[in-house]
Amino acid sequence: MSLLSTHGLDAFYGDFQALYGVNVALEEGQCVALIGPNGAGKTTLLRALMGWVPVAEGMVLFDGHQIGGASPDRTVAMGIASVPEGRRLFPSLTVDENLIMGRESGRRGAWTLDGIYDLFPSLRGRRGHLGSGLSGGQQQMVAIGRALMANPRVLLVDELSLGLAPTVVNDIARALPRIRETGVSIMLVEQDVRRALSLSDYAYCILEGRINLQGPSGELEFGDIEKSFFGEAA
Amino acid sequence: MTELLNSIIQGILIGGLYALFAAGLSLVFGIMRIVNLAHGDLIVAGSFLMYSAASVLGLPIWVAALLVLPVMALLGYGLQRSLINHTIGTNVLPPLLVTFGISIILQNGLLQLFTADNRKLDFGAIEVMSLKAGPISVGWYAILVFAVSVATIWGLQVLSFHTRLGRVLRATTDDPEVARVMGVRTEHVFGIAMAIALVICGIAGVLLSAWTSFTPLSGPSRLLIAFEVVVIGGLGSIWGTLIGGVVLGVAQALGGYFDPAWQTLAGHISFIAILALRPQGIMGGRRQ
Repeated sequence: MSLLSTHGLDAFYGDFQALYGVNVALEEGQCVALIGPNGAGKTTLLRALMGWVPVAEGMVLFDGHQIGGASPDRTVAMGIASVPEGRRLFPSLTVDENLIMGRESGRRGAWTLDGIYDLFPSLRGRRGHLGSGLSGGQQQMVAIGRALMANPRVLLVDELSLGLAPTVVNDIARALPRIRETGVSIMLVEQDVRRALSLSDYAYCILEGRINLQGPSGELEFGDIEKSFFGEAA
Repeated sequence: MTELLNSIIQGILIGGLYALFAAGLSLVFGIMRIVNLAHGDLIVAGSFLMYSAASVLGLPIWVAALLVLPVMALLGYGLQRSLINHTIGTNVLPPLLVTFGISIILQNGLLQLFTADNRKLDFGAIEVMSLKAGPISVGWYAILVFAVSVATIWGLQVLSFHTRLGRVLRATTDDPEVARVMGVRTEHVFGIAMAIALVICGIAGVLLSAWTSFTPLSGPSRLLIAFEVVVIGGLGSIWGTLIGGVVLGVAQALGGYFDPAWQTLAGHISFIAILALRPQGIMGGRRQ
C-alpha cells in the first residue's frame, strides 16, 4: 500500500475545477516528481494533499487513513510537511526562529537545528538574520529546513528551483538525497524537466488538471514529455 | 515655569495609561488585521468589573484588581472563539460590524446594570500622596500608574520576543496561512491574542477606575485615544505605543496649561501633525 495516494481527486477553486479525477501515489522512501506547464494543476495537487484546498475525505489516503479535507495544521501533525510555493518565510522572524516554527506540529524526531545547519552549512552564519534579508536560495534552504523540523514522513516541495540561479539549485538539489536517506518520502513540483527526472524515481505529467503521462523517471522519453506538455500524448 | 514643568510630568505619566489603551488594539490589529471597535468599551468594562469587585462585593483593592484580569482574559478568549473568529476572512467589513455590535451591547448592558451615573473608585491614601522635589510635585498614584504601564509594555515585549507563544504570535502576524501549515491552530492563537489584549484592557480599566470618573458611555473616547496613540507611535511597534502615549499625554498637558479648554484639542492636533509629517508613526517602518 502506498504511503500517500489520491483516488479520483477532484479539486475546485470556487466554481473553477482545477483537478479532474487525479490518481497519484507516493511509496515509502520514494521521490515523485510532478511536471507540467504553468497552471496545469501541480500546485493545486500539493495543496489538496496538505489540506490547503478542500477535497472530499476519501480522495486522499495517507498511511491507510482517509485524510482528504483535513486542515494543514492536522496534516502536518500527521507527518506531511510542506515547502510552499514562493518559500514564504516569516519575514520578521530570524532564520533560527523560522526553523523552530517547524516544531509547532508537535512531531519529535531526528531533525534538530544543528541537523539543518549541517545540511545547509551556508545558513549557519545567518541564524540571527531576518528571513526577509536572505537570498532566494538561502530562503529556499530555510523553507526546506523549516519543513524538516516537523520530522515529516512526507515532504511536499513546490517549485524547488523557481527563480534561483542554477548553482544555487545544485546546492539545494544535493541535499535531497541526504534528506531521503533519513527516511523522508518526497513529492516535488519542478519546472526543470531534466532536473525533476534526475531527482525522482517516478514522475507524473499533468496537463489541464489531468495526468496524461506517467512512469519511472528513468524510462520516460523526453520527447513524450514534450508532447504531453502540448496535450499530444496518447 | 514650575507649573509648566509639573504639567509636562503629569502628561508623561498619563501617557503610560494611554499606551495601555493602545497596546491591545495594536496587538489585535497586527495579528488579525481587524479593528476592534469595542476596544474602548472593553476598557470601561474592566473599570466596571473593578467597581463590582471592590465597591459592590467589598473585596480589598489588590484582590479585586487581580480578579479582574483573569475574567478579562476569559472574556477575550470566549468572544474571539465564539464570535469574532467567524468574521475573519478576506472582507474587512464583518469584523467591523460585529465589534461595533459588541460595543453597543456592552454600553447598553452596562447602562442597564450600573445606570448612567458617574463612578470613581477610591484607592485610599495613595491618591492624595505626592512626591515633592523642590517646586515639583508629582502624585504617587500617577507614578504607580506609569510604572505599571511601563512594566506591562515591557512584559508584552518580553512575551513577544523571548517566548514560544510570542514567536507563534509574530509568525501568525506575518503569514497566518503558512503558520497553519507549520501546525499552528490559528483560531486558538487569535483567541489567545484577544485574551492578552483584554488583560491589558483590564489593567488599563483598573488603573483608570481611580484616576478619573467613568460612565458606561466612556468607551468611545478611550477608543479614540487608543487610535491616536497607535498612529503617533507607529503600528506594530510595542515600544512605539509607549512613545505615542507619552506624546499624546504631553500634548494634552501643554494645551491644558495654556487653556484648560485646549487640552483635548491639543492632543488631536499632535495626532494630525504626526499623521501629516510622519504617517508611519514615530517608531513605524523600522522593522527591516
